[in-house]
Amino acid sequence: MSATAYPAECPAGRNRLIVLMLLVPGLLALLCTFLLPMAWLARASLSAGGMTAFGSELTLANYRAALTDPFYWQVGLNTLWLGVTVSVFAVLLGYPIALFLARTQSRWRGVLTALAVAPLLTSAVVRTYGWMVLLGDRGVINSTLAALSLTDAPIRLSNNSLGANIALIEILMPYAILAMLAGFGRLNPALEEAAAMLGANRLRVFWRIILPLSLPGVLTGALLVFVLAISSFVTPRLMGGGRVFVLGTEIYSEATVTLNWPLAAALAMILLGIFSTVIVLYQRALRGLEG
Amino acid sequence: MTLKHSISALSLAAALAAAGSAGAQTATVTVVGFSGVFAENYQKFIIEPFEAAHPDIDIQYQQSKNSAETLALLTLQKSDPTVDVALIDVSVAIKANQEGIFAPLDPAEVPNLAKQPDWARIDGDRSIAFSQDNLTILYNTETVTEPPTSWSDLADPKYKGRIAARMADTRGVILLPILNHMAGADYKETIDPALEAMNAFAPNVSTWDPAPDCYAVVQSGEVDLSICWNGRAQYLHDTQGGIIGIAAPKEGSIGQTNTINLVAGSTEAEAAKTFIDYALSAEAQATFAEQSFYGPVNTEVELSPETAQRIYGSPEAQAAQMTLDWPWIATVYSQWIQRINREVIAQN
Repeated sequence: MSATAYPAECPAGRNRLIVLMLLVPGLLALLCTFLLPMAWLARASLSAGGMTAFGSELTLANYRAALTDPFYWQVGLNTLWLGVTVSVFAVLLGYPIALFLARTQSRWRGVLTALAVAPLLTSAVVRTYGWMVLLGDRGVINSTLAALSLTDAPIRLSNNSLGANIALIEILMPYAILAMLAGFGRLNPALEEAAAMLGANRLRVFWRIILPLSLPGVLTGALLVFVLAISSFVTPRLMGGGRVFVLGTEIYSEATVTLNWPLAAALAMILLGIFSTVIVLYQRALRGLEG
Repeated sequence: MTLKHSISALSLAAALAAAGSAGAQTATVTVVGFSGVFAENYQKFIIEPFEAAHPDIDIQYQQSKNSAETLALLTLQKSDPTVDVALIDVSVAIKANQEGIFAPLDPAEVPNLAKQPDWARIDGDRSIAFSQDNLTILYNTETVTEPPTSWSDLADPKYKGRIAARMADTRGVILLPILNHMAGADYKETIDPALEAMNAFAPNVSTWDPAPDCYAVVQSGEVDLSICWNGRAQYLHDTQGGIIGIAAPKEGSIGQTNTINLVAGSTEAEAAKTFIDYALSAEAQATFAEQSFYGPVNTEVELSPETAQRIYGSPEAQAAQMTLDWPWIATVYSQWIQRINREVIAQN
């Protein structure tokens, strides 16, 4: 805009115009594939019981139905709890791997990094089925335990929230590792050497130097896993045996079984609200860490 | 192929195309419906004989993953439909009728309407039931030596952790009236006895949402019993080595009801009505029942005792077969699923 106002005097403005022009295709694509559907979803969540989102009056009834129903509060809490446990364990288990990959001098480093994130090349559905084979009542683990006469009856490892948690932790761990690996660039070996020279033992070096410096990476990894976990649908559905009620599964069932699309839209908007809150809190926390 | 042959083949093709356009009466009717075995059987036993009898009508069958997806498609196309006929679950059809998606059929134009029972003519002849797939109990013939005979066998402690039961959909909505009937209660008054009966077998349930589906988990031996649809199970019994057995309970059952519907605004409504009339005929329904074990609706269909056995179970079960007041069920459908989720599944 400014470029058209000051064409001659302001070459920087022309540059800006070019930048804007270059952004247009991307912005248009974003508008069509992301913003418009989102707006439609928001509009659908404000419709009355019917299925055609437009043309009827606006109502907050769907939000009222969702927010006054203790069952949906329970579902919301289940979702947050799933997000917390999965992100905590994914980060705990991924941290040593990420730290090792960040610091190793091995010539295999590239290969090892590729191995750590290789599971992402396989669809989450396929990996979930893999976990079903391992954790089922007649799965690899239970049949091994039974063959060794360690158990009389199969241990319930799947078709419940334990199974959903185990599978999600493994499925989302590569994201945690990648995010932490990117965040570990600030780790400077010189600082550790300095600390060691000043008499700190390895535990103290870890506790006072490595951990604080790696916290932003840890936080990014945890946030990424948390957001992916609370919006997950396939794994809780396949591993949960119908017993794991989270927002993803409820939105699916309102949309496809009971065909209450406005309520499904309202639940999706609530999930979006939770996302936004978490991201705002994360940015505050990150600023706190850096400031 | 020589050049000469190619040329004559080409001119033949051109001549055929010209003949086709000269005829110009060929109507193409698009039917959207269930996928998988149903689609194969419907193509083979309903569409092909129909096209043979009506060379001027071409039927395009479009598969849809489930009725909800079909409804989404029809809702999006409401102002300019590309689909002429939809085959969908009755509960979804009733939802669609609230949105005015289907057009009423005229008994004068679709004479076979007169041969359908009253319960099958839904929402002022907008949705017509054409087949019923019974809810039944499947068992793994290798692990279960003594198949169950009654719905109450589901609560037998020997099946602890060995049952797959998807209840939070039409399966649960159909099982409630059955369990209620066994307890001597009327589903229009209360479903408490049925929920209690569901809770009685709930401790035996290993999964309330079998993956990939309620048939595969029996076939693989992951569970002993599964509450599932009869038609597909009979097909898998015949094609997958008989590992899946079907134990139709003696108290009878209720079928998941499939309806045929004319889409409002269809550009090929005349041809579509001709097809619907054929699909509702005793001949078409008898063939479909014999071949795919979906219960017929047309009152003139006479089933052989063997087919009746495979669709409904023992003569005792056949006599006990029930139907539901679907328009009434549609008003409580989501409420019942909510109660199953909250009062049974979430408690177990």
